[in-house]
This record gives sequence, structure tokens and C-alpha cells, in this order.
Amino acid sequence: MELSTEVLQSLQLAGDAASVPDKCFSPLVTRVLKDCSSASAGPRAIASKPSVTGKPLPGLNAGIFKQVYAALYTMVLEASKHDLDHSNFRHVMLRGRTLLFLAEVKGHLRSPEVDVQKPCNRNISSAVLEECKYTPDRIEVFAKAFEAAKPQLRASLSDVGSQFPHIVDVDWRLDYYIKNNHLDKVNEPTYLVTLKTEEGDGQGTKDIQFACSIEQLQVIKKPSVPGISSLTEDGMTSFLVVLFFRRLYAPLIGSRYH
Amino acid sequence: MLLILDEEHKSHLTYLIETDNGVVEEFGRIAMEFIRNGPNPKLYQSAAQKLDSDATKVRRAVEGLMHLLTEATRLELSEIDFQDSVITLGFSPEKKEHMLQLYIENRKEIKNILLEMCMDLPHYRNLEWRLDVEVASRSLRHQVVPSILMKLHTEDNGTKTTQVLQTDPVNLVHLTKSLEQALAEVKSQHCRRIIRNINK
Repeated sequence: MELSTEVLQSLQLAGDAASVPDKCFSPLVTRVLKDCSSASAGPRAIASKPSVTGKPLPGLNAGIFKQVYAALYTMVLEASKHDLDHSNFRHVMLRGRTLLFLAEVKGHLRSPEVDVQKPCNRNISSAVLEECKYTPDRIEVFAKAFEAAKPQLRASLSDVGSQFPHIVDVDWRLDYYIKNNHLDKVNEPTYLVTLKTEEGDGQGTKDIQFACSIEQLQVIKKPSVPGISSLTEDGMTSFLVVLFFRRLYAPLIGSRYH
Repeated sequence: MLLILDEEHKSHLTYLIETDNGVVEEFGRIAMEFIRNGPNPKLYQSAAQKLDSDATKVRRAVEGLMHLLTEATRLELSEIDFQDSVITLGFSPEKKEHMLQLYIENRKEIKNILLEMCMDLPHYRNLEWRLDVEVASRSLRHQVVPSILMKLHTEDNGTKTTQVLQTDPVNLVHLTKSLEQALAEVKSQHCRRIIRNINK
């Protein structure tokens, strides 16, 4: 996770009891997580309805609120994006301070961006924790609230981006095609299949319609490659799917944290 | 079952009844050409000149023959029914043989042509698929989301379209189950009874 110097400075501000009193910290974190979770009530809602969402918390200076809100918002999104858990998060909060420190020390020699991209130093002493001005209580409050909100956060983040129309349901109709204006005797069963698809933009479902014969429908429902065919066979289906995908996951999970 | 033709159609066919056997054969060829590729007025002109006849008469005869063939194919007349119908129209036994030969040789092709002309719904042509696992995106790292990508090829009146779709394993299983039910339905008692009665 990489955060800019600006965000790190604001984070430090959020950890400072002088600028954000203890009684304000928990509501602040709750507010940030709530706004992040509901995709529609994100920064856009704050911009359009500053009187409601962006209203500063009582007991908090409006300028400071804006600054720490943005910083926490950024950190929450970044942490959700990288799927950081409780322990990672501690490191990040601590590391934030270290990186900031590094940036300050090196001053104008390098651009802050270069500095903040330094790898995480996981052996941070408790002295840095104190320096960071995040008390263990605050880290605990944040980590707890964040853990609770993370699944929802990751779910809304997974909606961001592009995807193909996603098939969610299927309708079918069986017709017996008897005759038409050119032929007196056709006599063959025909399926009219409607695939219901969602495009991920919350616009409801879209239909894809086509007709096919019995033989064609048999082809559609039976992919012929070994392995995947277990997906579509009866009875044990879902179990096999899980097994199949678990086998698929294994190597991927191994490299998850490099 | 006999073919029932209207009077106007019968009068157009009289030219064929009165003419030589060779001419009937030639007209059969022209009528088939008509069914395949549409009318060719030049052919009528040259045929009329050769036969020393009226171009309109020739055109009507060819069209009459074509209509006779398509009607017979539409109703799927058996060979015996076709012969009976032709004799009823007044064709001589030799001409009847020619006509029968023409019908037997071409009825499959005519049926295919007629089938192509039918009202068409967008219909299935092909389905390609592949299995992917989404591992990361710009907004979300460390994910393991299996997805099945499909490319559906459909065709409507000769226009081919392809659509790329995706689904997840749970929906794929649901999809498969629903379609299996659909396939099972055609073997159900109700369906079989209806089909049997229609085919009688």
C-alpha cells in the first residue's frame, strides 16, 4: 500500500488527540466507513450534498475534519483494495509514520513519491508507535470497524471496472413448429431461449433471445472439455464445482502475498 | 390428396399439355432456374422465338409449372398423389413421367429454398466458451473470482451476430439445470402426445 506524503500527514493529524479528540475518533471512523461502503454515497454525495454527508462532526474543526476525512477515506479504500487485515493494518499505520519521517529527513533530495514507495519496514519499534500519535486504543477502534466493513467495501470495489454482460437467469419456451406460409409441414420442436443478463450498472436485466433445435440445445448445455464437464453434470454438481475451483485456487492462493 | 389449382393456373398450364414432350422438359429446367435465381425475361424471349410462340404465353407456362412444383412441395405430396394430380390436369402419360421425374429430383432443393424463405427468428449458430479466474483489477487486488466467458454466435436472416457474455459457476449450474429441464420436457408424456397427434 502506498500513500502520498499529504495523506500520511493528514493521517498523523487524525491520530493526534489534540486535533481529533478521543470522543470524536470513533464517530469519525464510523462515518468514513459508512460513506465508503455505500457506493452511491461516496465522495460524489459529499460534493452534491455537503450539508448532510459532509457535515463536520460536533466538536471538530471543519478544516481538520475535511483533511482527516479525506485521508482516512483514502486509506480505507487503499487498504480494502489490497485486502489488508488487522495485523497488516497496524503495520501500515506505523509504517505511515516511518515513511513520513523518511520523507522529512531526505527533504528535497528526492521527490516524496520516490520515498513513500520504499518497502515496508515491519520491524517498527513501539517508539515509532508513540511518535505516530496513534494510541493502541485508536488502532484497535479503527481495525475493528474496518474488519467489519471490509467485506462490503471489497464487494463494492469489485463492482468498479468493466465486465461483460453477466448471465443471471434463463427463460425457455418449447414450441412445436407445425407449418408456415411456404411449407405445409415443418413439424419440428424448437426452443426459444432467453438469457437474462446484467451489465453491472444497476440498470436491471437485458434479454438475449435466440431459437435453437433440440440438438443445438444439447450442445449448449454440455461443454465437452474434461474438467469443466463436471460443472454441468447432475447431482454432485455444486460439490464438483467447489472441488474443481479449489484445485484451481490452490496455486493462486500460494502466491497471494508473494 | 390431390392438388387443387384455380382456373387461371390451369389455363396457364394448357400450353404445356398441348406442346411437345421435349418442351416440357426444357420448361421444367427453366422453372427450376426461376425457383433458384428468380425470373429471367431474356430466356422467355429466346424460348418463345424458338417455339415460334408468344413470350407472355411462355412466361405464364413456366410460372404455372413453377407454382405447381412449389405447391406440391409445400404440401409434401407423395409420388402417387403427384401423378394423380398431374393426370387430372390433363397431361399425357409420357409428360406425367417427365413431370414426376422433375418433382422427385428437385423437391428436396425446393423445400430447402422454401425453408430459407420462412420467417426467421434469431437462431443459435455456435457457442465458444472459456474459464477464467479474475485475480486482480485496478480497484481491487487479491481476488479469486472464477468466471465463465462465452461467445454466443447467432444468426438472423443471414446476419450473423456475436455476443460475449460471462457468468459465474453458481449461475452456470442454474442455467444448466433449467436447460436440462427444458430438454426433458420434450420427452414428457404431454409433449409426446401432442407431437404424435400432429404427425398423424
